[in-house]
Amino acid sequence: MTDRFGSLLLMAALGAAPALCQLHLITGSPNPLEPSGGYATLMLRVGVDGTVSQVAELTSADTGSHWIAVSNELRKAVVVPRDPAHTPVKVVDLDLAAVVKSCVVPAVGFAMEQWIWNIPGAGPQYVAYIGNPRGGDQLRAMSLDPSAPCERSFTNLSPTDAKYLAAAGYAGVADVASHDAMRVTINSDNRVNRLFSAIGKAYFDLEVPGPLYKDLEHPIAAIMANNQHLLALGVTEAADPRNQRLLVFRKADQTWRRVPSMSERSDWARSFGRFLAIAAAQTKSAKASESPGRDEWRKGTASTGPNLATRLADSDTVFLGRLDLYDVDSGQTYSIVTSQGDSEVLLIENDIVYYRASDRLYSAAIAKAGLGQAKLLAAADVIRDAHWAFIKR
Amino acid sequence: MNSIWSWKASIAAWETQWAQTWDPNYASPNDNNQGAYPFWVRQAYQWAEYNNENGNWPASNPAEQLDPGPGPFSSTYPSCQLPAMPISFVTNLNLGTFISEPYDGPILSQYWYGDAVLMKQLAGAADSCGHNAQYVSWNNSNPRVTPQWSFQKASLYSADIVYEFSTCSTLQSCVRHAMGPCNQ
Repeated sequence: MTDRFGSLLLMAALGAAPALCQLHLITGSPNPLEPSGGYATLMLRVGVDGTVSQVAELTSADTGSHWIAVSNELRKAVVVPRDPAHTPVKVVDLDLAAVVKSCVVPAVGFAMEQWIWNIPGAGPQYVAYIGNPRGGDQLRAMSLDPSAPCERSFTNLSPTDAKYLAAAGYAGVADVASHDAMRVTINSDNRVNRLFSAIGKAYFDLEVPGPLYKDLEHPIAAIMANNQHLLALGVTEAADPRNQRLLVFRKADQTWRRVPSMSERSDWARSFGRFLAIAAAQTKSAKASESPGRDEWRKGTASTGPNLATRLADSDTVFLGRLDLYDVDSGQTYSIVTSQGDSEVLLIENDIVYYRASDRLYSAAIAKAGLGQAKLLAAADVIRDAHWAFIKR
Repeated sequence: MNSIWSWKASIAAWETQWAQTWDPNYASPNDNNQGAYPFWVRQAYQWAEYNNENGNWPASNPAEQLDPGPGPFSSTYPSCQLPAMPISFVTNLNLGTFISEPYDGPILSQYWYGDAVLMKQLAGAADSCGHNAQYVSWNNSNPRVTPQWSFQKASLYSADIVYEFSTCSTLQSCVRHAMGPCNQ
């Protein structure tokens, strides 16, 4: 444990959940558009006594990160540094809470979009849509299989593999974290596809019912989440981000439905098994110009995260301090009111929701009758920068 | 006085920064290359690809999309005798390769966006409000909204250092953009 985290240890053992001893957090804030530097990506362990201790540094603050994704379904996390041709991409096994693979990527082109695809026969892959102006674009995959050596881990994929996208959605609020969603197009025949400009077109086995979106004049769409239970498709009127909806394809019975609109904006949607979790938000206006909870925001930057006030000021969105859950199996909705704009759901597992409000980590049981009482699991400054969570097996 | 202003030291520092920022391989940009020109070429390339993929081609120039023009907090430099020069920026995109190429004229008041990024990097990308941003970037971070150009013109000492550089044929022709209040 570092001195820094030694000083951060705080006691908050207020009725911790049984699995808490294995609860882990990942901090990080990719900043590929900033001129230099970045923020440390850390793996943290939350103890039963409310302590928060560092398990591993996945990127240093000097290195920074370009992209971070955590797939609780595939039990892998991928942390891509800003300079992945010289500093290795790290793969974390969530069952072990340990880095199991580190590979530098070929020094070719630059990543324009990034995802995890779970290719049948090949397993989970970190896929980067590489722009390479003089050499040709690629869909470059790196196998997440720790038994595959780095020199045999890189392949180029076909656009047809894009249907194996394994996405969990948008972490963090504003642009403090990252997403693994994919922009797509809905054709006039309601079929979903994605054109990779110089490579080819990907077709998904999806046909969206026209009545769910055809009232929009110029719909833009993104697959926000795709797991064994559901596929979530965000659809927005191109010229008006306030006019948006979240559609969900329930895989058990192959049916589409519209997620009840609990707030104007559903951009910050994440999936955890059969649940969707949405940080309630709306477009800034004269009446709603700032997210609530400013007094609790960290003043300035830290080695693990940016100045939140600046990021929220730059965002076109106000976060309302409410987290909405949608159970795709039952259609039931739940709401967690934090009254803190800097709030997000980090994990839902075994019908327990783990969420963050500013520097505090909570859990609550999910039952048919509603949510159980929130339990404070831990409080520490570094929790502000934790945007992903998992439970070590 | 040396600690306040030294032409020799300043020029040497700028030369060093220039060498680090300028990269002759700008047209083959990698993730690791944080220089101004490779950064700009990456942004323009993604902009071109997005518009090509979404049938928006040819897309409008960044300036036509969102460039807010010189900062709103402008005030004339006390010694300024001349009105500000009207300037504009171009992508100079090669439509065959989607590479944004350096622009050398013939219009003297037109500049390349890559140079604008470079000028702001040289002046320091961070501003007094905590932003640490390039002059212009292609913001496609939110997949639910239409990507757009994002401009962050302010640096630590000016609301629009690029405009100041570009209009500054002599000291007297500089236009000073005072900093406005932090937007946070």
